[in-house]
Amino acid sequence: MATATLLPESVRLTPVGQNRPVPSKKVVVIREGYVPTISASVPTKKLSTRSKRVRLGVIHTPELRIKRAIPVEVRRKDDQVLAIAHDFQEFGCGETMGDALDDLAKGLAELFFRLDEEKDRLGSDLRSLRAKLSDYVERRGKE
Amino acid sequence: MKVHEFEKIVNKLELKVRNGRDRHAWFEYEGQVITRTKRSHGSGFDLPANLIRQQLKINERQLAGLISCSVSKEDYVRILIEKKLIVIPGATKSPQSA
Repeated sequence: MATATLLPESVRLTPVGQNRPVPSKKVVVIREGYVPTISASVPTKKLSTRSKRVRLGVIHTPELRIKRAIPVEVRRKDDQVLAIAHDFQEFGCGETMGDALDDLAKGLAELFFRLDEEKDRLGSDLRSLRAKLSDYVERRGKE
Repeated sequence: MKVHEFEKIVNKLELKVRNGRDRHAWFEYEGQVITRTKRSHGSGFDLPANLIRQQLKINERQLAGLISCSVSKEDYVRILIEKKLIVIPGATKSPQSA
């Protein structure tokens, strides 16, 4: 059984228990039958396990394949999760991060097909969007 | 942004709409596809106005104007011409070269 030695009131200890003399104003007095506790608030950074930036590496469309993982920002607002691929100004939403990423992947696939379909009549901005998207996504069998 | 506000923009700009998984809307001018946007079908989520605004290449004031009545389709075309997203053939040629 563990025993604790209680020091008499006259013994002066430093806060870390050393028995060297300390200035009288900072004396820690231990009375018999009283165990002092020290409480302190230490500022800590709130850690979150939820990612804000992820990379999309799967596209659930049999005809397409991801060449390079697509950087995605994940935003949460109330009960809604928004997955945004800023490079393509495309987004997906859902109740969970998985839903939002899935929505985004399907949206990107639709965008890819539509841009491919309309490639001959795209304006300059959509032409460069198509070129950029082709750096990340390609049709399967195109080796 | 609410769905009815999105639809107001679709109607005002006469966007070509295709319903797939999402409702995709494309702005065409003289046979060219210039800008595009989309919204999810009946998800009940608030539409991300900022992202729709970026897709349509307009600022917050212009988006508010499109939803209200202060920005018309002609104004929108003018905005896209100023941003050089719509190029009118011959517009840059000097009158002497014609």
